[in-house]
Amino acid sequence: MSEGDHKVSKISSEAIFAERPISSSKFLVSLILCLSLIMVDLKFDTSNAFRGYLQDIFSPFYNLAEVPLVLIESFSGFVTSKQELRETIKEYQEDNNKLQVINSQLVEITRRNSELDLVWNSAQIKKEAYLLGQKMSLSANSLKPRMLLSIKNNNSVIKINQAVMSSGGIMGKITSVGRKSAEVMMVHDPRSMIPIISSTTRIHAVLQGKGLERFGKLINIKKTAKLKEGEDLYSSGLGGVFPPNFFVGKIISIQDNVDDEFLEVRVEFLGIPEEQDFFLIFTG
Amino acid sequence: MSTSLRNNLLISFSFLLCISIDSLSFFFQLNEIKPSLVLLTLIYWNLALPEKIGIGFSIVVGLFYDILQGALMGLYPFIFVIISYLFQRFFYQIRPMRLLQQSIIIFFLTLVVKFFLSIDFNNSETESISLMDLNYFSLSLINAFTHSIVWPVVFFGLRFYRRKWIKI
Repeated sequence: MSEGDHKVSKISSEAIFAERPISSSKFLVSLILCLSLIMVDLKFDTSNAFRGYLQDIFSPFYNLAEVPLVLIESFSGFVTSKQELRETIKEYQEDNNKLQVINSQLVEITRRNSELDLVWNSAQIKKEAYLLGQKMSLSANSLKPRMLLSIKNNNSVIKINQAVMSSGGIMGKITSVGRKSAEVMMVHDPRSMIPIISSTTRIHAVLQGKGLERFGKLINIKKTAKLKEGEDLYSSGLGGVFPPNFFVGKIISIQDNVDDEFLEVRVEFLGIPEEQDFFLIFTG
Repeated sequence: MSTSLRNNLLISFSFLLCISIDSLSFFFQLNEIKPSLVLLTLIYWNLALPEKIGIGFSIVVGLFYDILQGALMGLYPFIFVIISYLFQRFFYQIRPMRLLQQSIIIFFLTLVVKFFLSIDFNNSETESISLMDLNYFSLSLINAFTHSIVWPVVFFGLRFYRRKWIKI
């Protein structure tokens, strides 16, 4: 052990096993370095340029975290007894009977599907404009929720600011792109602003997120606006980031505060996509 | 392989394991209250082997954590550097403390960290500098409590790991 690692008694020259704290100068330099990183990222969004690529490197971590669950599942599958298998077969038979009944409705469903196809064509949206992404993780940061999507056929068509949709409506937009992954800023994020149009009163506004499990708000709504509670909000397509006519949220409450210049309109977003695995990226 | 390198690798491995556990996402409430194992591990190594954990270690682990949490670049390194400094600076006071006392310190420390994380760096809220509301505050309190409950488990777990594998 070198003398620098411990204090030495001046009387006996024996080591006093004391650890040196981090020197103040090192500490200050590190703090300045960290603050510089924060300031540069805030000013120029530098991290978005490489965050996606770093996520590609870190993707094994997400898989590693899934290992115990996979092991438990395979182990439970291994120890399934014959009796349980018989019960499973019985359940499948019951499901089969139900499916046969449901199948009898197929004619009607086919007719409706053809109608939907007509609607789809009338909307003149190319199916090729959508790319499928699989959810890898959803960050635990409720104030700045972020979703990570794994993309198999990237081919450089995915770019920053493209909208991400679930079956229910708009979920967010891409903030960083890697080779096989993309980071998505959710609509719940306070930095997210979506131009919307209300379904019945046809009022244009901008919807801002407030964090997960919190209501969003419509910003700068005049007190004379006649918005209604319970009204659905759809993307207006203004600005060109989000495609028009997709569901974004629903008005929960409208408050007219005396000391406020604008109306306080609270909006409920789509639920958190915990169960959903696949999302569409609008590349159009 | 030299002992020093081996020790550093073993310490790094403990961080990697905690980072991958922390990257697991659950339902909203659990995500909000689950403890950050990386933070507790960093505190443990600062108390157990302060000469091995320097500023550089804190910055690297913080940058890893920034990427995984989707935070501003430099935010977690900033927090981790301050925590490392505090625990090394007050090493003599904290190390001989009882686990209960250490847990109380960790409770207040994680509470401060949660409050710091709620600062609105992007200025998306014009009225206030914090995004905290009552729900966030109460979940932060529970989160800090969970940290203090989990601390003894992490402490004994990592002490066992250190005594079994890390040779000084």
